[in-house]
Amino acid sequence: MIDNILIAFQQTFTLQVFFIIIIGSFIGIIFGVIPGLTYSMALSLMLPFTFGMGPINAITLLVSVFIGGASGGSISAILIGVPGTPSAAATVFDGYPMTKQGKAGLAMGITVLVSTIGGLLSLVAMILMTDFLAKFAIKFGPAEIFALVLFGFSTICGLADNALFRGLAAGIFGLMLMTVGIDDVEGVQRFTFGRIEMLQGINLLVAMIGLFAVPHVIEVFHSRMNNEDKKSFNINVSKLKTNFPDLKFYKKYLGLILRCTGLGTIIGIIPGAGGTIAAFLGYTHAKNSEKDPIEKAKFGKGNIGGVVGPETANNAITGGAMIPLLALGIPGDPATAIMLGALLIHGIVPGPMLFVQNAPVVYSIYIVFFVAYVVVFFMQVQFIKQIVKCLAVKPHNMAIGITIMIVIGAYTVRNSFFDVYVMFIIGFLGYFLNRINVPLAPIVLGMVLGEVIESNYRTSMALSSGSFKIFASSPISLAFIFLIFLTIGLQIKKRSKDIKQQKMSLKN
Amino acid sequence: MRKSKFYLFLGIGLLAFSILWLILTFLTIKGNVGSYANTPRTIPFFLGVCMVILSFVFLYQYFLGFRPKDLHEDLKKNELKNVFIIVSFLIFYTLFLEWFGFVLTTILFIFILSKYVLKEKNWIVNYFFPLVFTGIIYLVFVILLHSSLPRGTIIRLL
Repeated sequence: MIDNILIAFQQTFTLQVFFIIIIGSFIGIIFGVIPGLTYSMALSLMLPFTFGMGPINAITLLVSVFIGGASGGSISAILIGVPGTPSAAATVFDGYPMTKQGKAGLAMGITVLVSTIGGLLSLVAMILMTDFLAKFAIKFGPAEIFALVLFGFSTICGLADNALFRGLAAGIFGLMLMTVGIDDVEGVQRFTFGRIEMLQGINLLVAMIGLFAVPHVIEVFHSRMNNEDKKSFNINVSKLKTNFPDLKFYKKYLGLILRCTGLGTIIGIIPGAGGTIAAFLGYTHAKNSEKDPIEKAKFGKGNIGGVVGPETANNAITGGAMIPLLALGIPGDPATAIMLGALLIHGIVPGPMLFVQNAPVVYSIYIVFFVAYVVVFFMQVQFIKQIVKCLAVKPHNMAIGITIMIVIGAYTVRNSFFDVYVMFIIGFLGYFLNRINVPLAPIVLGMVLGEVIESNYRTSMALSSGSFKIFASSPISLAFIFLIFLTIGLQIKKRSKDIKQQKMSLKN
Repeated sequence: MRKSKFYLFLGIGLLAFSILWLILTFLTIKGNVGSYANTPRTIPFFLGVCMVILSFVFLYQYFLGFRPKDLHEDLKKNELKNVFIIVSFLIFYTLFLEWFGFVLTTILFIFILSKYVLKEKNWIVNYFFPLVFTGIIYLVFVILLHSSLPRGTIIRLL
C-alpha cells in the first residue's frame, strides 16, 4: 500500500499535473459561473483533450473540471441571483439577499469556505468508503452485480425531475441505444443495418456530447435569431472582495457543516440523485435545525445558514459520487459517467479490481481531488474579479465556441465523421426531448449501465443454464432485488398520490 | 378545462417506436444460441416490451384526463425555421470539414455564423474571434496534444 501511495505521489507531484489542475479548475469554475452551462457539459467538452494525454493527466483534468464546476455555480447565484448550475439554485434564496444587503463579499467567503470544507470532508469519506466497498464488492458475482446495477437504474429513473414514467422511458431508451452494435457475448450484429460504422455501436462519449451540448447550442442560437437572447451580466467588480467570517461563525455552524457534509456524501453515493437534491435537502435541513425563531424567520432574506447548508451539501456530493465509480465501476451521475468513459479509454477499468490492478491510479485521484479543492479555493478568493468578468461574455459567442468543440470532440473520439452525425442526431433528439420535458440524465445513465446490466445478466444466465433462480440464490442479490421493488413501489405510490391530487383538483 | 393531448401523443409515439423496435429485433438480430432467456435478442426484446407497457401507461393517463405537472410550452416564435437553419448549418459545417479540413472550414464557419446568422455587430468578434479560436484549438490539439484534426479530402488532393 505504501509503495502504491508513493507511486501516486510521484505521478501527481509534477509541474504538468499542477498546471492541468489549474486549467481544469478554471474551466470548471467558468462553466459553473455562467448560467446555462453545466459542469457535465464542460466535462464532455474536455474529453477530446484527454485522448492525447496519459491516464493520470486525463483524470486530473476531468476531476479538476468537476470540482471547479461544482463550486463555481454559487458565484452567479450570490452575485446576480441566477444559479450558474442547477445545484446552486438553493443558494439563491439567501445568497442573493445578502448581496442586496451589501454583504456579497461575506456570502462569497462563506460559500468558498464551506464548499471547500464540504468537499474535503467528502474526500475523507470517499477514501474510507471506497476501500471498504471495494473489498466487499470483490466477492460479488455476476448475479449480484446485475441486481446492484438494476437497483441503481431503478433509483435513477425515479428521481428524474418528478416525471417517473418519462424518466423510466428515457432510461430504457438509453439501455436500447447501448444494444446497438456487436453483441459482446456471441458477436452477433444488432441494429447495424449492414453498416460497418455501426458495428462498434453508439459511442457513449459521442452520445453524451450530443445530449449535453447540442440542445444548449440550438436553444441559444434560436433565442439570438429571434432577438430574445439573454443579456450578458455586467457587474461592477471594483469593490468585489471575498471576506471570511469571524470565529463565531465556526462555533455556530460547525455542526451544520458536518451534518450537511454527511447528507451530501450520501446523496452523492445514490445514483441519479445529484447536487440539486443535495443542495435543497441541505437548505431544508439548515432551516429546520435553526432553533432561534428570529434567525429562522430570516431564511429567504439573507440568513447565513441558508448559504452554509446548500453549499456544503452540493460540494460534498463530489466525493460521494466518486465512491460507486471507483469501488463498483458504477457512475452515480452524468459527470462520473464521463469520467468512467475517460478511464476506460485509457485502459483503466474502475471497480473492485482497480485496487488490485491499478492501485496508484486510485491514490492519484485522491491526491488530485485534494489539490484541486485547494486550487479552486485560492482561485475563488484571489481571482474572483477576473472570474466574474466572464459573465459579460454574450451567450451566443460562447455557444459558437462550444459548437466547434462538440464537433471536434465527437470527431476525435474515433477519428470518424460518422460519430459527428450520430452526435447531431442524438443532440437534436435531446433538444426535442427537452422541449417535451423528458429528462436527459436517465438516457446517459441507461447507456452507461446498459453494458454492465446485459453482460452480467447473460453471464449469470449462462452459469445457471438459463435458470432465473440464480438471481435469488444469494442474500446480496436478494437484498438488491428487494430494494428495487421497494424503490419502484415507493415511486409509484408517490405518483399515484400526485394523480389523485390532480384528479381532485380536476373535479373541483 | 381543455383536455391536454400531451400523453396521447407521447403514448402513440412511444408505442409506434416500440413496435418498430420489436419488429427490428426479430428481423435483424440473428442467432439463437442457448436457451431463450439468454440470446442476443433477449435484452432488446425485453426493453421493447417495457416501452410498450410504458406507452400504455401514458395512454391510460391521457384517457383519465391527466395533464403533466410541468406542461410543455407550445412552439416558440420561428422555432421550426430557426432550428432547421441551425441544423442545416451544422450539417454543412461537418460536410465542409470533411472536404476542406479544420482550419479553413472553421474560420469561415465562425465568421458566417457570427456575422450573418447571429447578426453579431462587434467587428472584433466577427473578424478576430474566428482566427484566434481556430488557432488556439489547432495549437492545443495538433501541437500540444499530438491529436489529429480533419485535414480535408480535397485539401489533401491539392
